[in-house]
Amino acid sequence: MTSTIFHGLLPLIVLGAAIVIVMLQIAWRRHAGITQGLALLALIMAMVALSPSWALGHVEATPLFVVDGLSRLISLVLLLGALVTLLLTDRWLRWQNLESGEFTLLLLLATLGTLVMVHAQHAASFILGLELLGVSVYTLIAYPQRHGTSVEGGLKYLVLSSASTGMLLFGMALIYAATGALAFVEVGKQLADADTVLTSAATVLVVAGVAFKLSLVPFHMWTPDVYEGAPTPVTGFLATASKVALIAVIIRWFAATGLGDGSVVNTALSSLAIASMVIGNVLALYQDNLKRLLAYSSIAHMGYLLIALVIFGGSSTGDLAVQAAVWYLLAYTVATLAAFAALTLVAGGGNEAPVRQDLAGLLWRRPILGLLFMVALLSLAGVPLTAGFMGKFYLVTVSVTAQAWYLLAALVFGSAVSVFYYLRLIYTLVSKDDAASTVQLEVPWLSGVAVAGLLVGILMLGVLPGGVAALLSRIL
Amino acid sequence: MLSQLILVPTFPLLSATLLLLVGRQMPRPLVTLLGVGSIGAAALTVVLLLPQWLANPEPVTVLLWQWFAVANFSIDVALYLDQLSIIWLCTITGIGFLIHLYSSEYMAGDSDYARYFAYLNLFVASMLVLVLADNLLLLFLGWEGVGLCSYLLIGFWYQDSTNGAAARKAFVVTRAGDAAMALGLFLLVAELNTLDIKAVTGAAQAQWSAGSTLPTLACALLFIGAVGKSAQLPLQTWLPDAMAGPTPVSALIHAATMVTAGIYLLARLNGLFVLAPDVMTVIAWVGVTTALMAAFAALTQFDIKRILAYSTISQLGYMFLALGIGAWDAGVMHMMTHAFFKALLFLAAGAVIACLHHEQDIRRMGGLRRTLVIPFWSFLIGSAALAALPFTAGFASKDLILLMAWASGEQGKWLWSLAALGALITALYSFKLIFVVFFGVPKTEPNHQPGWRMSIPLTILAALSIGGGLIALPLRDVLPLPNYEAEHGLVAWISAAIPIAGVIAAFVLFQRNGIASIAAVRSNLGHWLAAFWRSGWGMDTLYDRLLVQPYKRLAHWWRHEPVDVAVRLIMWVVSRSHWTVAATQNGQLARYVTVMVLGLILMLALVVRTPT
Repeated sequence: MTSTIFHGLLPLIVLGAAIVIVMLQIAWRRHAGITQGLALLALIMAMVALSPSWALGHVEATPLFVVDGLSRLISLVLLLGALVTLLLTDRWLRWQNLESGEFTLLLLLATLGTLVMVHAQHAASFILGLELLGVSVYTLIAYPQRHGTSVEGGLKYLVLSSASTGMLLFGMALIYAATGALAFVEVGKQLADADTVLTSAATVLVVAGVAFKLSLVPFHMWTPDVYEGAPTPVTGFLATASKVALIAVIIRWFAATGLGDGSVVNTALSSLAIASMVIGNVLALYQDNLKRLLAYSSIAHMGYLLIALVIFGGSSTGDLAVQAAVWYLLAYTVATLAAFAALTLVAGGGNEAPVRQDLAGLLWRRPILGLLFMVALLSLAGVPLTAGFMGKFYLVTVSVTAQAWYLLAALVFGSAVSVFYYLRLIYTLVSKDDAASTVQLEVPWLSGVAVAGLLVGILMLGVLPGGVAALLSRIL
Repeated sequence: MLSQLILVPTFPLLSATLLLLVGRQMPRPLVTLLGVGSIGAAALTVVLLLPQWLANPEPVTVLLWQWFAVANFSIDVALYLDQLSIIWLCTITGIGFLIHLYSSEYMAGDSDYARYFAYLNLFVASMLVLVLADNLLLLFLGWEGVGLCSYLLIGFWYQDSTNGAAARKAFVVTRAGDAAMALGLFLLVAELNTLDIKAVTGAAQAQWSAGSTLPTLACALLFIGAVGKSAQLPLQTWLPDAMAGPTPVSALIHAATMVTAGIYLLARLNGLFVLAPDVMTVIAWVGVTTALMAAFAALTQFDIKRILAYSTISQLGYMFLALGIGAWDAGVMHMMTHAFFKALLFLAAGAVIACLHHEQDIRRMGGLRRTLVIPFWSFLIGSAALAALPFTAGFASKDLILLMAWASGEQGKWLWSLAALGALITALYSFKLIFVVFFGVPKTEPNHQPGWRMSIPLTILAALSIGGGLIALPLRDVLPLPNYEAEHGLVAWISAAIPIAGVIAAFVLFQRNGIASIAAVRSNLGHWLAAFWRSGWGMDTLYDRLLVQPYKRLAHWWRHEPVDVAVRLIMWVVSRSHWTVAATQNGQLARYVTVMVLGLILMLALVVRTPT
């Protein structure tokens, strides 16, 4: 292992070592403060470890992993997401009377899984990361064993996720059968001589496996049940980290293999995108359970994001499409994390399934939390001066450039419908009704840091997008 | 260089934010300090920047940040300072500060003190953004901000529903103009692919020939926007009703902000407007017609503030006349002098009103020259400037407009005649106000005297209303010169004599009560005409009959029109489909797996059907 490779993979190494240390520490002596402190340190160290690799450019770190601009940026996003989740769970675990040791450990393991995926350039490392993430997440969802819904959610996710991974693996097997390769670049090279029926079938299977994790229609059915059952901070993690990592892999997969190219695959992907945008938003319309509502809205958002991937796979405007996808991913991540952070803190007192009416007048009772939730919703709705607006702006620009009118029409329709339920929620937030004031609303300072960071993030991406946009066009 | 420029709009914006968020909890002195101090700080910044800029008077662009740049279309957030914007900058911050200082006494008894200053600061901040904007999108942001703040301030005493109605009217009427302006901006973006003001002007001059369709259309749309904001025919009806707000707000709307935005837009885009000579002609005629009609309307009002409101509409008409005939610098100069004397008149009127138990009807005033000394002298100087008597600031600018009008081409004589008639009426009504309110028999006794925070702004503004005409505006570099010279000779003497004649007529008619002896005034026709003018030429009734009532009737009659049905249908379809798809989420794992597998099979069928 040369020093370049070492430096490139340093974040993974740091995180892996930290996991071992945390596990030993738990075995030695259980102490919530120490465990969480170590985890916090581990995440920050991993972020610091990212910095020396920025100057290295493209690094082929073993046949399994690659380190480049995309992997660094997405790793940073994932580590920040994990950090936010950790900061939110600090007090929350105590409120819920849950053991913090295993929870923190599983969170770190899941984060490692996402990082492995982000760096993967080989089917083996991809599946390795995916399963590392998957197994940790099943457990995290079912972590509050006393809650029937949590266990139910965990079980549903386990069964369905296994089925989807089966599809993915079968697709990879077909790819191997057709090309004799598993490394992404190798697959791309052998593709010309491969049997098209096999490779298209394989692509569909891979897409189906990925679509499940991204909860794209018709692989979306699990989403509301699992989101609702999972403990709220875990839902936030699930809704962001696993999707971010998968999008990164799929971008790399399409870029290296060229399998997203081709009109038939494109039609299939476009259908998924349109169905997700329409059905996701329609499902969210009258939903009063907030976690289910956000689940449905995340279906729609993944549909929007898929527009960029469809265009990336199918046309020459590739660079802009990747930028659009990554930007949308950033906007979606920060807004979704913010929404779930607000719900976590509202739910802190034990209300694990808050409904719309519970938030009535939140803006007046807890201005900071209310503001956070409101800004998150505005961003998800794509209102100007928030991150979400810039994301949609990118997507519209890309679709217009690529003349993808059907996708654009679905995007417009979906956004129009979504405004109804986002604004209805905002109306609830500002309505002066303190019937629900019994909800406990203590904001511990660590969570406060996370809240402030998210708020600044959403607004900064919306008001001053120039810097990040320049960064994206430089590294992607 | 000049990066401190950002501070100018930042101070008021920051203070407005603070006051809106925590103003209620602040002690009053702190609110005053923030509210007045922020504008003071902005004015001070301008004063400090001025010598630095004058040392090297080149246009400066201060790029703050790039909002976004996607696929060769970018929007910068940048401030632009040149000779034109610096005039507005000085006017807005200078007069704005005096009005704020005055407000701190005028509004001292109001329970919503902090909210008042928050809106007022936001108003000034929006106007500053408008005049400093480097591109039309940022300008539009300021433009709409000004519209919003005017709505908030006109309806400041919202407890009285008529004030709310006036605010709504101002908002809706100016919105009609704004819609046209937005269309104009869309047209510019679509055709020129930029919103940067310099680039727009440059590209327009490169791509479009003078008098062709596109520049005419774009300028016409932008002009309609300016008409709405600057209360010109036919969108002037909101301004007299806007008197519902506190008097200092009227001073701010009429003098330093809001209504001069239309003038600014036209002057700023002069490079575009010279490409549309037809629109320029329309501007001149709209201006002079408005000037004349509003002057007649002002003559017959009883409410002291409404007189001043109509006089603003009339004076703005003169500015548009000047812009329309290509005398850009005269128009801008009149904007500035008008800002001085109109602020003075409104603040003096506010002092009279406040000292007379909120009495606004001039028929119940009289003989106040001995009891309210400072307001009297302020009013006298302000009226003299408004009437454009020689040796006042108003004379310097308005006389120039008249003489330029005479010299401007074939229609010049007609424009001059109407404008001169307007000037006569202006002198008549402004001195009618003086004679009725300050001379004659005292009818209502003042209950107190204005304090120093009201008197100092009045004194400064009075000085500016006299000497302000001597300020030499460095406009030659940024505005195109007219291709003709101002008229000299006999016409110049006549133009200067007209206001004096007006004052003498006012003396005879209203001080010597000559009006009572004129039979025509007492006739039925005279009464009808006076009432007609008083109602602003019946415009409100006309619009009510012509637009509002038919629209309401149409809406009532056509409640189930196809568009409605279509909208309802969409609603119905979407909510029905919600319940349909929501029913699929039954929580059963078996169902979920089935749907997944079916989806997979469908996709496979789609992809694998054609082995080639």
